[in-house]
Amino acid sequence: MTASGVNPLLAQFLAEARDYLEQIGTTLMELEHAPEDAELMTVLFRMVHTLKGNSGLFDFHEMTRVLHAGEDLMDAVRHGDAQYSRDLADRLLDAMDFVGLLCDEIERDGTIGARHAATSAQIAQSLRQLRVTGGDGEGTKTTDEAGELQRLPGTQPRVIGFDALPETAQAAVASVRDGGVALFWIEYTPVEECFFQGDDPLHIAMGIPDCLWGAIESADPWPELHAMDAYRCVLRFNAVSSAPRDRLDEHFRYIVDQVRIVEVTDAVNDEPTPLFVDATGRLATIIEAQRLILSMPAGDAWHSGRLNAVVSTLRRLARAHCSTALLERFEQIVASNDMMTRVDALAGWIDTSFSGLTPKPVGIAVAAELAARRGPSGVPETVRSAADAETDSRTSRRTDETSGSPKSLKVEPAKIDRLMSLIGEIVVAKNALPYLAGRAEVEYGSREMGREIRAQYAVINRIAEEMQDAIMQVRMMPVSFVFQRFPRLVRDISRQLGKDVQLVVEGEDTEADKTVIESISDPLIHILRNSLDHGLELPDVRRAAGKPATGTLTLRARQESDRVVIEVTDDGKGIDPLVVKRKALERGLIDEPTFERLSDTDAINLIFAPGFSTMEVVSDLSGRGVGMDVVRTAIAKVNGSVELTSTLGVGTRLALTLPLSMAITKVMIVESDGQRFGVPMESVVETVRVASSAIRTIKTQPATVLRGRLVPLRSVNSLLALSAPPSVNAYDEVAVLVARAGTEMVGLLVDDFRETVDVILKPMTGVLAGLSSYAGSALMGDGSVLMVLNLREIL
Amino acid sequence: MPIERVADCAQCTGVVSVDDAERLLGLLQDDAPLTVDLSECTHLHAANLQVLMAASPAVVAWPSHAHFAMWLRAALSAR
Repeated sequence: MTASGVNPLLAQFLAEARDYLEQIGTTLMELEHAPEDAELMTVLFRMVHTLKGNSGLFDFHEMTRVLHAGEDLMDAVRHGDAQYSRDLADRLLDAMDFVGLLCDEIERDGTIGARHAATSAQIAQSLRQLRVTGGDGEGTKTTDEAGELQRLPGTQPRVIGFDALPETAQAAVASVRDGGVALFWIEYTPVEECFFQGDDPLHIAMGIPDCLWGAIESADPWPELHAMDAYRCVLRFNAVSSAPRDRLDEHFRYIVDQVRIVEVTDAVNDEPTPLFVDATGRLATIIEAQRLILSMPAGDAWHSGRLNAVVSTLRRLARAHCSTALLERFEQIVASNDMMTRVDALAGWIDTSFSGLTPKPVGIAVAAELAARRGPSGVPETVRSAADAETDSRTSRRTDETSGSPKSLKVEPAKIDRLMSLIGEIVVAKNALPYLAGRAEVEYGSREMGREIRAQYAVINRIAEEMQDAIMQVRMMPVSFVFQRFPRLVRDISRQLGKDVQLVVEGEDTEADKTVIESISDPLIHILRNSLDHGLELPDVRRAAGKPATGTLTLRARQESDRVVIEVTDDGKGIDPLVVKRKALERGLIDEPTFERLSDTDAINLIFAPGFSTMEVVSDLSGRGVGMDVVRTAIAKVNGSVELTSTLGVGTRLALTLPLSMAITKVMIVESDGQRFGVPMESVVETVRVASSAIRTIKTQPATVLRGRLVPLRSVNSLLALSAPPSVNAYDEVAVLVARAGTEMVGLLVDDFRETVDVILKPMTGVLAGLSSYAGSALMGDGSVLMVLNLREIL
Repeated sequence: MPIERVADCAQCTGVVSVDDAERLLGLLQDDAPLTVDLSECTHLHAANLQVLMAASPAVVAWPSHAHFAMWLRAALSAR
């Protein structure tokens, strides 16, 4: 995982968060088997709690809210106020998935989009619901929670009719509505204790972007002044804004549970809520504003636009307040062409139509101010910082509970890779010392010097080898890194399929190189899915077959000398070789004679053939056309192999054999046409010298018989398009390197064998990357480059 | 002091914070006919606002900042 462009603290948070999410998932799985385990529950609570605390360090309110709800829920379960259930586990897992999603977004964008606010509130609500229904109500917070639920978005209508707005609000927004701008009605009811949470509701309300109209009222009747508690918030704010929905969401993202934002439409709705300014006063204000605009000089560029605005405003007023005659007169004026006369005529029309109203100068100032305020305004700083301070203090208090400093050090993989390549260079550099010692003796005639250099070389060699080993250890990872997500996977899929499956995991501590571990993740998922989908039967079928209803899927890892073996075993129906053979015949993968001849073992291995899928119906899970060949290819990429055995009706076993490490490769050096090549040791079977007379040509293919087996022979020279013929030694023998290519044996004709060496194999890069005949290159001690053959490709 | 009592008038100056709400309530609780001068006030914490709304004293001067004044009027004028 790279975290470039993200600050270090955040990068660490993200890395830790992912770890925690992983662990929380695992623990939830474990709890499913032992719901009564108080210790596990405590562990779970601590993890959710720590994660929440960490998220509080940043401005990730959406994340903190969900985690907070989760934490409260866990706490309730811990104290017996709520019951652990599958539903609870499901919701918590969903919540953690959501948090994971947010983590991804933070890593990508550095922040969380305001659009997640509603989802976050919904998830938090669904978690709290469990608590509320599960709890006995004695908790102090329960009543707040219930209150909060009613105010939550989603439980409210999504739109509100224009007519439902208070009249003054209707008047204030009338001219804007014609412009086709979406308007939003905002009801902000701060929670009673909001002052203690550092909120200043007035400040928040004043900061509403593009606010066209606002009102403040009391949620309850005003108490007696003597009985009043100044710090119990009873205010309710209403406002109309023309800002886009996402800006409003952004503005209220910290208090999304206290705010209801609905779009204003033309639909007729309920009775308007009480007003704060009387309607005639506001009408007079509007009229006066129109007069003012009309009286402005006509010179500037905005004049016609202003005039249009006045016309549309007056048309609405006329429809609402004037007689038909006046309305007709108004339309006549508007229809007239001359701009100047129209202005005068409109002013005159206003005078006759609204003569009874006295203008209020102050009102105009307010209207103008409102218009001026319709620029972008940020989140109020004081509110935010106050909220932050509050979160911070809570966090620091809570983190005291959780014990200890981190147990392990987090290092970016790129740094380890760098160490790895540096140690590779040291190995190469130190290998130059024996050559130097040789030169000291031969060219400068100083045997003493040569001996000293060799002594030093021995020391450096020992340290370098230890260092190499140490770095390899750092790169080693336990297979549990991959295994830990499988319980969830198996649980989800088996439920989806209606199957009862028990996953048994063994040998999670087995370690292998990071690259190897990472490369087996996808193949294993594929294998597990296949086992669940095709292998294990439905409970009824199992019972009928005399097996326990619950199927067992075993995932076993162990180390065998320098290889890691991972076995996936199921006790399902097994693979029917006949079905596989028929399918392969249908698909044209094998021909009729092969069909007859094929052994059962070879037949079931046909499932690895590209384009093979036994399932008639393409299910949701596996069998999307990408078959087991993908698995085999992926494993082969890390020099691993796959072995499949299956007994019909009893089960299937898949064994992946993988190298412990990919960093160091053992190669055998061979010489051909004066050049040296490396051959990976794992494919070398034996080296023999064969007399020229023992080579026979079958059709055009030379071959020989070795230990009773026919071995086809290929010349390395011809494979690499070198023209030289294979050379023979003084006894008329050719050097044959017998190598394994897949399941076949092939004899490679070379000129001579050399030593075997440990090399750090570098893949081909740049323009050479296309040369598939080489697995890579390695630097030798004398500074020369050894090309390592990719036998799979050239044979 | 953000809130100063001058004769029968409570003068609010600068930012009247949440901590001042107690004192404002105290002033208004003491003897009823007290007026409020907000001309020098730049912000009023909502806690103070609800005290003013509950007590509804006569406001002799509004803040000079128009947007702020507008919201205060919205809350206090109607009462």
